[in-house]
Amino acid sequence: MTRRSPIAGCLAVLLLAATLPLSAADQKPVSFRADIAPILLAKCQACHGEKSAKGNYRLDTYEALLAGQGGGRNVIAGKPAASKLHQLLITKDAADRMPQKADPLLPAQIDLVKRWIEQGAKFDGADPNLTLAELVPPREHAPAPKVYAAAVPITALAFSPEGKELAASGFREITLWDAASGQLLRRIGNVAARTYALAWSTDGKRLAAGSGIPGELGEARLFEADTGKLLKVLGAHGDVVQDVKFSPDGQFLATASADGTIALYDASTGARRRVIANHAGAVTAIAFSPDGKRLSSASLDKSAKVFDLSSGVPVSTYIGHEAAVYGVVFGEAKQVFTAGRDRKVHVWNPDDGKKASDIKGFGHEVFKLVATGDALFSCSADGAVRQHTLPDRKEQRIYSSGKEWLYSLSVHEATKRVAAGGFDGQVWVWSTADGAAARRFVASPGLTTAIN
Amino acid sequence: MSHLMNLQPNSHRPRGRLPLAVMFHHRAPSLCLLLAWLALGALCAVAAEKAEGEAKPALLQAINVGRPVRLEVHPLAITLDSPQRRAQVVVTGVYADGSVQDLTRAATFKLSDARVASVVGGWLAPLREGGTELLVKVGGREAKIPVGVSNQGAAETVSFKYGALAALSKQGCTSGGCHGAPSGKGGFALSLAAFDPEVDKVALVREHFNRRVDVLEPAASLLLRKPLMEVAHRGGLRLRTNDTAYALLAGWIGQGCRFDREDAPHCTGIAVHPPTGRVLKWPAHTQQLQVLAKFSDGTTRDITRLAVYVSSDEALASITPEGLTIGTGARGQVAVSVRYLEHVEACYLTLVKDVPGFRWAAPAERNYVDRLVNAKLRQLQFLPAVTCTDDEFIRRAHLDVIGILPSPEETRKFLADPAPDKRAKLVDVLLERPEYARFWALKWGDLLRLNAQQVTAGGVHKYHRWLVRAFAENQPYDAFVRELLTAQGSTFEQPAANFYRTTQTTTDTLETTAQIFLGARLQCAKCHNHPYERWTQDNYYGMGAIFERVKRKTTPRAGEQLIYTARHGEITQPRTGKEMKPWAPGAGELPGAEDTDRRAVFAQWLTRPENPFFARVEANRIWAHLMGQGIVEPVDDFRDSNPPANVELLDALAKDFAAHQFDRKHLLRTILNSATYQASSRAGHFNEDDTRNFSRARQRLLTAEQLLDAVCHVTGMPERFGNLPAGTLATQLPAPEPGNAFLGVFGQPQRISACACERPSAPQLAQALQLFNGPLIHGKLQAKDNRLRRALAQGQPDADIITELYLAALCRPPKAAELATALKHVAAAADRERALEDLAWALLNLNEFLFQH
Repeated sequence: MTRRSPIAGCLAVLLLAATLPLSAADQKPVSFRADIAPILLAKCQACHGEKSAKGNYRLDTYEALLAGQGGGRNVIAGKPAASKLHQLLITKDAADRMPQKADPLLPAQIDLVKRWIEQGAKFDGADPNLTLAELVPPREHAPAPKVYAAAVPITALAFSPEGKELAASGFREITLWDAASGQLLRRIGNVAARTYALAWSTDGKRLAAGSGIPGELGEARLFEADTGKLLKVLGAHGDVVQDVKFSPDGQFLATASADGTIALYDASTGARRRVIANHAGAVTAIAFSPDGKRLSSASLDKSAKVFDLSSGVPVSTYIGHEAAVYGVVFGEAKQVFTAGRDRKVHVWNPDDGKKASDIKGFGHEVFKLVATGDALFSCSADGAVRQHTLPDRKEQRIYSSGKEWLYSLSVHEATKRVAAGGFDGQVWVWSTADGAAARRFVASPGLTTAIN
Repeated sequence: MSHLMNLQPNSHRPRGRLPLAVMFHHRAPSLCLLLAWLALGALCAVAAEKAEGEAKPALLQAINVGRPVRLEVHPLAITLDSPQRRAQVVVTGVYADGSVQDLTRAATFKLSDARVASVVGGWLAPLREGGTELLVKVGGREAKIPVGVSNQGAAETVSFKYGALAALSKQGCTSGGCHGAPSGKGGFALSLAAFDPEVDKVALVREHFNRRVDVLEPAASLLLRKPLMEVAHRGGLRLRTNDTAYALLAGWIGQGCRFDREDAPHCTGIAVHPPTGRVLKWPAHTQQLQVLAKFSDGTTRDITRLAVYVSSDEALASITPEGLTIGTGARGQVAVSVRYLEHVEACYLTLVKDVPGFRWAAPAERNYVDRLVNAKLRQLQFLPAVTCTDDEFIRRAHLDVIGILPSPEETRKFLADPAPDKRAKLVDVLLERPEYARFWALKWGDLLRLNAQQVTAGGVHKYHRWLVRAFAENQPYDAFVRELLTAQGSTFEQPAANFYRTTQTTTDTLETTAQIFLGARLQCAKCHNHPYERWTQDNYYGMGAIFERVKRKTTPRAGEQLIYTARHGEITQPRTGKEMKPWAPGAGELPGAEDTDRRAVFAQWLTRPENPFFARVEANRIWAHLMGQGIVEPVDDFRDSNPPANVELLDALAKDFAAHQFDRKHLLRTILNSATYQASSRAGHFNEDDTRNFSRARQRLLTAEQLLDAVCHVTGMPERFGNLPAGTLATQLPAPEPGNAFLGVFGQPQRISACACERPSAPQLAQALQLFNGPLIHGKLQAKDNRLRRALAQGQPDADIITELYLAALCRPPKAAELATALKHVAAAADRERALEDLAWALLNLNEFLFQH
């Protein structure tokens, strides 16, 4: 049953390289970035990282690896026998040997570390202060199953700009569906295990996926929508990317991660412009202000915030939910809408974080919000998508799936469609013209039965 | 200065030198040192008590197999009817002398057809369908049991509750310090000990966008990778891939995270092998347990590696996650609490050991108390102490029965009395003294929370008088409790109704009632099933239903309240929203017509002679009062995982108590006349390790009230308390005396709760300061008309005055050496009066005075 994890795959490749005849391997320089960092990331960082620094020692950056507790003896270039890093991997004393309470590293992995130190323990990345997760080359993710053994919850949905296609989160892939017929059009692979957000560029040529491996990796991948060609891999967060958004002018892409950070990238070059580490919990959703100058965020730390993008400084913090916040959008007239576990949508002022009003009537927690100018759409664990008119916040329409938790939501104004994705793996498409259900399908290739 | 260091048996040295400096400033040091040294000779055992609860590392001793006469293999047959099924075998050797020994670790196991199943250390796993035999060999004996393997074709569906949630409990994930905490940990909250599967369903599968489980690739699930430490986990390494729990969790996820159907078989109980009460003799202090879960469809399942084990005393034994109990080498009784979700069973093991040179010797047994205590001591090879001296007895009996010290005259008379039955006579006299009722009213005043804030100053006196009357009349305990629990009307006219005034809410009433009369701390079950015990949240609110209709209202008379019961009113369980029926432990739902007072039904049930809780709890409380430690300790914490030190003794006391119409004086008399009560407090070579089996009297600091009365008694300077009549003693106060620093420092409880823990026993620095130089003692010593100055005024010689002080403080005349030292000190002093005052002060600072012994 156990499939090899992506890391194990990487390691297998490394291992093959390392078992080549010694003479050949000796000549091949060992790369910190490509060879050593992945080992440290997989085997050491869980205990010696940002969240837990056993023995007060972290090795989540090259700098930290060399400094830290060892008094300069952690890594002594050219002398593996004198380097603590190497000593602790090979010692016979179980009380000292790393990793603790786990199997020792494979001989080939230890040999890589040894040769890297012998060759001078050099750094071959861009910045020795980058986290290992950011430093290692983007991964080649394992392919998606041809046919799914079970449906997967639909955590992300996005209509293409012209409204013909509906992109949905799959397992290690993005699936694209005909918005009218519900037929599977194509699949885009080389995506991390789970995708939590999807965003199209305004011209419909590029599709961004916010994905990750829970507890381990978060990244946004930018694809050519038609061909599925991978254009850019943006960042490496320490936990999954929960939201990804293009700025209104299309110049920037922002990601929000369960590791609590928000990152801003140049959408054309992929260069990272800013990291905002301000929340105390996972950031679940982000939204650009209409003028593109501000970014609002929702978090499991029970707060929502507005940041000035030119400085990265928080403008306001809203704490009125007193519970996890899952969804955020900007309204037109100096308004931010946020929704969450408290089963309400709160309306507040981005300048000062003061509450203006709220919307009640939800039967369960509220996940995602979409604003279309004169309407606010929301999806909830109570099984319904609700449409409220703006600015009077009256409930105009309820689109009901029954009682399924609706995790994801997308609205297309021109084609008058609203789509929601459920925990059970189904996608519902309704008409906003008359509220009628237009289509329902299980968005897991090869399957027609939902999770019951 | 050693008496300072020994202020309390368990005190630690760094008490500091500050008090000494204070002391020397005022008093002659040489004298008090010398006296202390002399007195310590008489009380050498004060510091001998060993620190309790120090866990020693568990070491696996080689089993001395010997020659068993036969082997017992449990279970008698094994059926492995799914690929996931496992079975633990327990092998017991039975020996010629009737003793038994767990030989599971020493036995060799072999299957006649090794293709059918595998066996390692008595742990069987199926390989393929078929039937075979398990051959067990050890100590020259053999035994066989049949093994059947079937249904190996398809994996069994893993139950959400009995598989996945049990696995999370086993690994500690659902514990109160981890994700079972009210707000969880790291944003992930599970219900405590998996008591609420509905909450856990959401948390595991739906919350945080289905982040924690990966149905398509179970091994990649965060739920597994975190505790495996494949990704950072603040809780550390909690799971290994070869754990039973891993297989269950991965299996449950891989099968699609299915929840149990409403009509799925439910667990009806668990059974632990060996049966409780087994005696293990060193070096065979290990015992493999085997645990079966029984299901409503008649099936059973081996859950040995899924049950959660907790030792009642790690200093005696620890338990591995696989259910192997490992003794530390100490002697005593340990309870292994075995929990599987809401099912809890306890397995008691008695650990005995041959002590070199041990030869049984004991004072003559006077009654069943001695017989049962000695049986336990003999089994554990502890020797009971010799009988205490007459002076020790008169002091201890006075303090225990009436709370105060005897007068020098009473002591002289008793010591001089040649009658062989003078101790029994003294007991009879003490039980009839008026101070008896007032002293025991103080004790019950703590439990019933008599304080002026709760029942008003006037109310306290009325309630107190009601209590004193009950003890003075020797009202049978069952009648006393019925009167209390069913009281209603004006709190002025029916003082017992104050019970419902001090417990102002239904939950407070039920918790207090459970704690005082059932010895059960139910508080945990208010919000969730008790994590270690069988109390469930339903039980809690079921008991609440008994008291839900009790109403309280104020009347025009100042300070009065009216207690009455309404005809209607139900309590709902907050989690399930279900209306609860009145319920009592062991009895289940209480019967009773709709319009009867539920309290009366409950009180009738509670006070029946055969009620397993009622007599035992009060008998234990009385025992603890006399012996300084309960048979169950703490006295209000009866639970499976807190075993009585001597079950037979507690049962016998309870039976005797109930058989004598709950006559408290009868029980007191029985214990007071036993050799066990009258044992010396000095430890010897063969009982110095015993802290739980009553081989000797337990030395303990006098209570705050006893100590204050004793100080007043020695100095002859009574204390006045507020507006209370002159002559009122501290041990007779109706309510805590606010503003009395001395009482406060020595631990007089404020009576906020019914918990026995409100009276602290840990020593305090402030106590030492009070004794050395506190204003209270200082004032009484310097008073112009105190005992010693009155004697001086009467022209008494030094020796008489000194002897009188010794008799007053220690209930004995000074020894020759003590008298000589004291006389020399007084003779050498320039100021005779001051020198005698020093002497009195030194006596008040002796352990022999401060402690009951």
